[in-house]
Amino acid sequence: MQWMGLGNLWFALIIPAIIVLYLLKRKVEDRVIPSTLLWQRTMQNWEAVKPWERLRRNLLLLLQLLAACLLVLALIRPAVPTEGITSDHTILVVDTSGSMMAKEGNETRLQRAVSQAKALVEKLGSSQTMTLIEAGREPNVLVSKSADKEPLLQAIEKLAPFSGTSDQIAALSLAGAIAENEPGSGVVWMGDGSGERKLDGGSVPAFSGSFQFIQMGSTRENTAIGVFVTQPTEKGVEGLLRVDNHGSMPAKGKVTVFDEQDKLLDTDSFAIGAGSSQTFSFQKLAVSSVYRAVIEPEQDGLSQDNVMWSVPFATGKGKAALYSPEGNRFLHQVLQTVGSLEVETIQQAPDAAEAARDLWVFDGVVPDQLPKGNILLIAPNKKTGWLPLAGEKELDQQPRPVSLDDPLLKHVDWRDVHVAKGYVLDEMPGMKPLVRAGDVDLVRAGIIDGRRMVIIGFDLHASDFPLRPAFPIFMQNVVNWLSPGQTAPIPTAHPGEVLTIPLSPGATTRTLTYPNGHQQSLTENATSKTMQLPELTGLYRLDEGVDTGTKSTYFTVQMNEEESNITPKSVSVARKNTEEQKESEEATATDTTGALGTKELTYWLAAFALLVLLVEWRVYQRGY
Amino acid sequence: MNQHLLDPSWLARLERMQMASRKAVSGSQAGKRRARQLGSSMEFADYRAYVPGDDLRQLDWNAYARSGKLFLKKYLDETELHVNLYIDCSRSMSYGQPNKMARAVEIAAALGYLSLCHLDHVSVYAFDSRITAALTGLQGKNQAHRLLSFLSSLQEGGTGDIQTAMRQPGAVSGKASTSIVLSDFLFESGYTEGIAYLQAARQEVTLVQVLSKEELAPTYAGELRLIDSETGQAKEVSLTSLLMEEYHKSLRDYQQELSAFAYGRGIAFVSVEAEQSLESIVFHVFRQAGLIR
Repeated sequence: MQWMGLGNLWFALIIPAIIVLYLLKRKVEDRVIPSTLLWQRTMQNWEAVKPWERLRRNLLLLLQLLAACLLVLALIRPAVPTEGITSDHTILVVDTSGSMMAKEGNETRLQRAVSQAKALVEKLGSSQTMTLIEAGREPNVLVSKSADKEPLLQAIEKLAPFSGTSDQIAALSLAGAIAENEPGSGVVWMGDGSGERKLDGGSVPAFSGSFQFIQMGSTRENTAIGVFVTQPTEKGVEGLLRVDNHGSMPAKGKVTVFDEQDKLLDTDSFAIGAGSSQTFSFQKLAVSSVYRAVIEPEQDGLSQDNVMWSVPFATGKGKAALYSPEGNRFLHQVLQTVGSLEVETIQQAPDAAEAARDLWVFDGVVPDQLPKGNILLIAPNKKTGWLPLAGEKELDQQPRPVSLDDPLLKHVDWRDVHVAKGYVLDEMPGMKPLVRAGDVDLVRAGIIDGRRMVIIGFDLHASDFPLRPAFPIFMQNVVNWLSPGQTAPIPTAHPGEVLTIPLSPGATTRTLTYPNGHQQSLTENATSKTMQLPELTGLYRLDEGVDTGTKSTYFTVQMNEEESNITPKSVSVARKNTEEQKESEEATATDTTGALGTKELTYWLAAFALLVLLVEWRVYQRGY
Repeated sequence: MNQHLLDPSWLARLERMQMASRKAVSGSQAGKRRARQLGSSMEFADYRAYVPGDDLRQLDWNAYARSGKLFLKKYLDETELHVNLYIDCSRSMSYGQPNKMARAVEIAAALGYLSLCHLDHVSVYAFDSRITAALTGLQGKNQAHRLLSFLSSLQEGGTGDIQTAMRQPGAVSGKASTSIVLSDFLFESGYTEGIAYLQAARQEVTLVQVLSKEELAPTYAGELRLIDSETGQAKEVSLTSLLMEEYHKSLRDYQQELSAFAYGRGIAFVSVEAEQSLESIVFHVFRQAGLIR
């Protein structure tokens, strides 16, 4: 039962008013009796015990009070939950986030939501319309204000969960905006409220119309792998695994680690208390390019988070080639120190057929053709087709970083650095200046022809830069940026995210294999590829055909850890009342029965009050 | 008028009755009442030997003639009784059918006539908050018409207050006597002290409560403002059967209080209904209560 107009409760004051008026307006007949002595004694006893007795057995008064009560009830607008939808236009938002894959009985939460949503559509009246929104990573309007049930049912049928987290605030804002534009709209939210970002009243603009939250799911029992990392050591590969129990009961089960060929490497059992975690460490795992951990809990709500892949940190070193005809001791030294690079000094400029390197370093020379791989160019003194050199310039100003937040300039202090002479470069599309002295760009970085490139626009010998602490730090940053794929594995990503995949320079073929076996060939002739991941968790494999054969790189896409916590929560929204009340009131409804909408009893109550008044009039006439 | 007060047909019957009292006195005028102590009546009691100093008039000369010894002949003394009749003349007595006052006057007439027939002294006092009228010192049957005409002349009047009325000078005779108070005993200020005062003046008190049917079983209903006939005080009541039950309870309690008070002080208490016939009151209720025999 809800009260739609509780503010009218003050009308209830009419009830004491009637009683007072009744007491005041009683028709009293005077009667002289011998003595009131006995009556005084009687009333003393009586009034002390039952002050309300005088109101008893008074039909008119009782009828008046009944009528007043009914009118007050009608004014505070009681409403009972009804099966169907009452608003003219219903905006149905279905949460399809990862936690909706949790199993409740024989069906998942989303399956339940789908069947309830279908039931809602079936109950739509002839004049009622519905808008269907999928609260995915981005809210998606599937059907807009349709009175036709068929497309709605089809759209609902097609709803599929995705492993990511839905943007509740965006979905709610969208629904609210639609409700604001369409008078008589109501929002129905189907979801479990769990795992998502917590909604508070302030983050979502209040909207008019009703809001109904239909809770999907009731269980919170779920055990998930929180973390699985592997790292090669001298004694073999070590693995670290954390199992989280998000539920309210202790969880028991088995944990197993497999290698790339699904060969069982290690196994253990776990017993974790409610709401806590247990960490396992696996020693001396057989060498494999990828590991898979699987837990088999006895009771589990969500099975998608029971598998996790781990790619060990790369052991190999990247290949770098240093071409410095003049010789540069500083540069040679620093390349040995920073990064995990195998530095090869070459004596002549590479030609087009030269094998690919992860990093090319040119000091004082400019190759006519860009080799395959990322490039660090120092003191470019020659103008080529891709390098617009304008000349040399004496510098009398201090170097000054331009973009402070660039990762290449992290922790690099340019204040004590002095540069005598710099090379002036014209505009290069794709390259942005990082450090300038006056109007000369000292450092530029960017992507040219699919390659990452850093240009240091002065001779290191014409500067005290190599003598400053800034130099190794800067070089570390540069090498890391120019060879990211070789020093660390591709980080674990969440479904739907935008991920930058580093590509091996010089690879002839590149094929990306999805967890479901789907293969995609990448044609980019570049050192990295930025792509939006599909809503698919699991192990992705990038096969690259390089001169030494096929090189496989793995990365994993995991469900968001928040989604593993499937505890149902309610969603509440600040609601703007369009009518008499201006203040927004908190309207929360957590109903799992599928009851939707409300039916106001106002008119029934008012009619009944009228009937009582008629009876009262009749009673008055008859003079009871 | 006198005939109206008492039905002549049962006057004779009344004459045969007499007041039962312990407070008879031996006075100068012999009453018709046989006394317990020896006295000078015609009723023979005993003989005893003469001792010097005895009243020679009481010597039995016949016995002396027969035996030559002097004997005194003893007779029972004949005593007289003072009967005081107090009639409540407050306005509340004017209710009932016949009204309580009329019934009280009739009872007083019957008792007074009965006493006069036995040569008792009869005094009648009418009171409300004071003694409004009094007729004292009646004796002998020939005074009956005075009694009756006095009683017929009584009018109900003001506010009843037995407490102050009994303290009025002349309200109580100094002689030990029997006092019968005829009233409804519905006094705002109570009755205990007034009665106790009466009793303290060597009166053998009898309380006769006369209540009308209207008081014993009220028939009114609805929303009423009940106005006291004497004080004018108003009391608003909404009469329901439950309240009526409560009233009956109060009435019972009140009568019980009165009777408990009377019993505690050795006072005879009789409650009569104004609507009852005089005959049944006198010959049944009073005889049953031992007031008359």
